[in-house]
Amino acid sequence: MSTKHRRKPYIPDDDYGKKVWMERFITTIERDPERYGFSDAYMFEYYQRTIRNFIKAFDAVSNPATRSPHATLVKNQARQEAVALCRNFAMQLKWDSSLTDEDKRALGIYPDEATPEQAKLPTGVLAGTLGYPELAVQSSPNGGHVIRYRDPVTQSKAKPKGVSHFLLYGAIGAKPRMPRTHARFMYPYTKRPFEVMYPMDCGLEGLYVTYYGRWLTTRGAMSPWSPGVSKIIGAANVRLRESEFAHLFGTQGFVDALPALPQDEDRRLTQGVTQVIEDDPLLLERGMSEDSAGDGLFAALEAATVRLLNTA
Amino acid sequence: MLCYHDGQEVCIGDEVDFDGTSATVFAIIETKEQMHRHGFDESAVGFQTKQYGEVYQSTLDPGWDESVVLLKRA
Repeated sequence: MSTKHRRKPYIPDDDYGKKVWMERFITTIERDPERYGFSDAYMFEYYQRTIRNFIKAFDAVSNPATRSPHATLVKNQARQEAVALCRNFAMQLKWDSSLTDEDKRALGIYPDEATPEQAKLPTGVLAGTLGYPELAVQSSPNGGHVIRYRDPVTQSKAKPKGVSHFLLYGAIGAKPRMPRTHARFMYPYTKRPFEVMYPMDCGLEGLYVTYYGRWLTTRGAMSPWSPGVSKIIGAANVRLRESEFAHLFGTQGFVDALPALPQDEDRRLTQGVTQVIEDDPLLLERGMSEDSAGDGLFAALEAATVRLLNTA
Repeated sequence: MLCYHDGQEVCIGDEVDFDGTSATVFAIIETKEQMHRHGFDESAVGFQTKQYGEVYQSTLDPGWDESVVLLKRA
């Protein structure tokens, strides 16, 4: 999260709020200008005059007897100068180590930064629930599957706030509606729609694939699973080496082709202050698969992908 | 949506009485992007006046309700 978002606002947005804040700011400084770094009386007078000009101009606009377009024009110009000056000076004072936090608060400056906000998972339709993506899968003329995803809560095409990627999972079997315990991580997407082509070398034609999706936030948190969408796999004119999912396939079908990781591989990954903890046993349930070694490899692939995404 | 005191929506080209001066609405500053572009921290309306040129009036100012009256729709 950027520093900008971590700052607490100190000068209010509206002119009345600005006037009240500046009045407090300059009145406090006027009590002891030297304490706030004004050794030059002329410099202090310049600051004082700029801020007081705005206060006076605002009072003129607030009074129906003196209000006019000209008074508004003068007030706007005075505000522009006073705000620019106050922002600069307030930030100097904020980092002035000779002032205590109490002194800074008395001036209307927050010495402490706001705590970083976590990139929260998107909310669901019902209050208090977590949101998940909605999938739409169409068979494409060239034998692949065109997949679209969206946030069912809004009509917007954009991913929900805080979400960096859509994670696609697939479970392949002889029947549709394969449970998500069989689902294996396929690819992280940022754009849509995208097309999934199954290599003809793998002999998957006629089998069913059930797709699932999850949101991945910029902080590495994953949303609940989307409902599954099943489609039959057609004959696609793509070879294994041309497929973007080549790493998922072997000559025996939907198996791993990745090197094994050590057995004691710690799946807790740390990236700066961001920690990705994937302890969800349903994500890749080892006991449900015929090839448990393959599941372990897929878990490693998934963890590595999440780590790469967080690094990016 | 920014509104006059009587509840009518402010539109570009509206002719108004602005504190006794006739003026025409030429800018509506409502979104964050517009505020950033015009250097405002709050919603405002830009008036073109013959006497004072372009004058921006904040809609949060106490004078907004009292000093701006719609005379003619755009």
